[in-house]
Amino acid sequence: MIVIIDDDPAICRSLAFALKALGHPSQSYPNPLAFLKDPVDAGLIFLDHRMPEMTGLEFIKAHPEIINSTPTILMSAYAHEIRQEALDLNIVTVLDKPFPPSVLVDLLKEHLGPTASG
Amino acid sequence: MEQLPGAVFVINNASYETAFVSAGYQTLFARDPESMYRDSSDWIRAVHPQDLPQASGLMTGASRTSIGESYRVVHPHRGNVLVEHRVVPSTSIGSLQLHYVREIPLKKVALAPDDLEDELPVDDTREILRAEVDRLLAQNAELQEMQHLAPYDTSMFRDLARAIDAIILLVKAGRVIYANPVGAQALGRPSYELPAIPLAELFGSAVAMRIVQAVEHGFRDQLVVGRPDGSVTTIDVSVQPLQLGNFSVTFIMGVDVSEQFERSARMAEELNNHSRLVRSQLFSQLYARLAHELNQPLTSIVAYGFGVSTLLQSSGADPELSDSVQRMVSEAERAGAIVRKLRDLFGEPDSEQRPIEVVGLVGHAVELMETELARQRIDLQRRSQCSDHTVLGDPAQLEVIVLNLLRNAIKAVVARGEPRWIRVTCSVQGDNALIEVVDPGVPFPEHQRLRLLESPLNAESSGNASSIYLCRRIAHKHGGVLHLVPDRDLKIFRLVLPLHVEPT
Repeated sequence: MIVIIDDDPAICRSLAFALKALGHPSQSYPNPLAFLKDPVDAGLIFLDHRMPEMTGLEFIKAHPEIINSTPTILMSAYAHEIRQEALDLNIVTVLDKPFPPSVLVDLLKEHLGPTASG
Repeated sequence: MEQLPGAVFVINNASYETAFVSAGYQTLFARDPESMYRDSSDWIRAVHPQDLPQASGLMTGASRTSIGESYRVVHPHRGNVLVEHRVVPSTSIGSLQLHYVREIPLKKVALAPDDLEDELPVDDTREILRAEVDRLLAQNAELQEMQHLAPYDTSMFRDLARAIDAIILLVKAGRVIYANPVGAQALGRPSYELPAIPLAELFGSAVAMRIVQAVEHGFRDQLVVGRPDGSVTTIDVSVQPLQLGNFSVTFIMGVDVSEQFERSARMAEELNNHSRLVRSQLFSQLYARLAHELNQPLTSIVAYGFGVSTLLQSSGADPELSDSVQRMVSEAERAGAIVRKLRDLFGEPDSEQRPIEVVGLVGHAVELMETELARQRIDLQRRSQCSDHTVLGDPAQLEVIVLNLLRNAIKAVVARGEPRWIRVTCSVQGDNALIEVVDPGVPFPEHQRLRLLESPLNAESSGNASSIYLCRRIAHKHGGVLHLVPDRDLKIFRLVLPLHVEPT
């Protein structure tokens, strides 16, 4: 299961659609607090950075145990501002929105193994 | 007058201005006669400090009777030189004081003071002086007028000039016939030279014409005066006709506003720089926000397109269809790259970070708005409980916040009319500095209050919202926050910034 945490529903829906097309089921949450309240066993987390209640970095700092056990990818339109700090916190990578699909495919292969469609 | 050994000077008893100084002044006092024309008490600077009491008595004590004193002059080359200084008030030539100073030969020093008095040719001196001054007066029409004017200006001009430190000029027939020391200084010329200079040379022909015509119609204006040294003085003047006995003159009273002018220009330039900074910051902020808003849908387009393309490929659909969707995805990616590039170009610039005194920060912003506050007749109340507390940040950016809040407050007060006050307070609460800008403008209803703090990209946001949004972003970048405090009667903006603590 892949977890998507983003306050923009369009991002959640479109990313879930692309993942589904590649054969990966996903679960979306509008913010980190919603995920903490009703977590699922995730193989990979796509985490947005700028969210009103709690930023992606704040979530990572507050819950290092989640990041250390689950590969987490941070997404941001301001990736350049937070890249170094995020990488220091054991994030797999920081994706600059919009990111090329090929990057998505490579990440899935690396962390979840090849899928039927990939 | 040069026939007398020693120094002679003639001082107007009413205005304390020097009418004449002989060349002997330089020889005896080792001081430039020009200094005496600028300041009639210049001679006293050469007096031995221990002899000042008797010397200074000569400055004021000779209005009715002749007086004399001996004292030592400290001469740079000759050492202490003992002199006799006699002041003769003249009744025959108006209110002029005649000063005669001469060296006492060493052989006379041993004599007792009374004997010394007898040795000095008092009567002869007086007669020679009077004759010379009469000659001087006969040759100088302006000095004659000045002498006649003296009884009138005694109470009015001198006291007025002293009380308000104003420039006072009297103009007659296109010439300045009287200038008090402040006036002469403003015009950059010794007062004795002024009667010889046509008004047009001092003020320019257009202004000179207005001054001459002011015998009938007075005016108030700022005059720009070119000085001989090339500098320019701006004088805020009131020019009025004045009848002095039989004389019709033009009375000019004013203040030198060059410094205020320069200060205003400097303030205007600083405000202009601030406006540019605000525009640039706002543009950067808006662009960063715009980039974010555009990248979100672009990310969705790419993800959707990729999903569709993947499904098309796996379902064995027409390859042209799949290819078209992939092209769509590529175009969206290209658009994303362009947005990123523009964001890098116009995004938020790096800012300076240094400790800034809270009181200084507020003080400078208030100073920049002083002209506008005065123009709008708004009373600014300042209260500070901060001493040397500092915050860490970019001074220009933080000043933008205070300036914007002051501008908003001024707008609110002007829109409301009365009362006309704004209160700015600085205080410390825990680890934070609090800066509040309060005005009695109509407080915002709750829904407007929330809207004011929204992003300026919100369609309903007003122009105010843009600047407040920018202020909030700057505050946020400095680890602080900008609130609009709910209040029933007042509009209160509160800026909270973390205090800076020097590492130990």
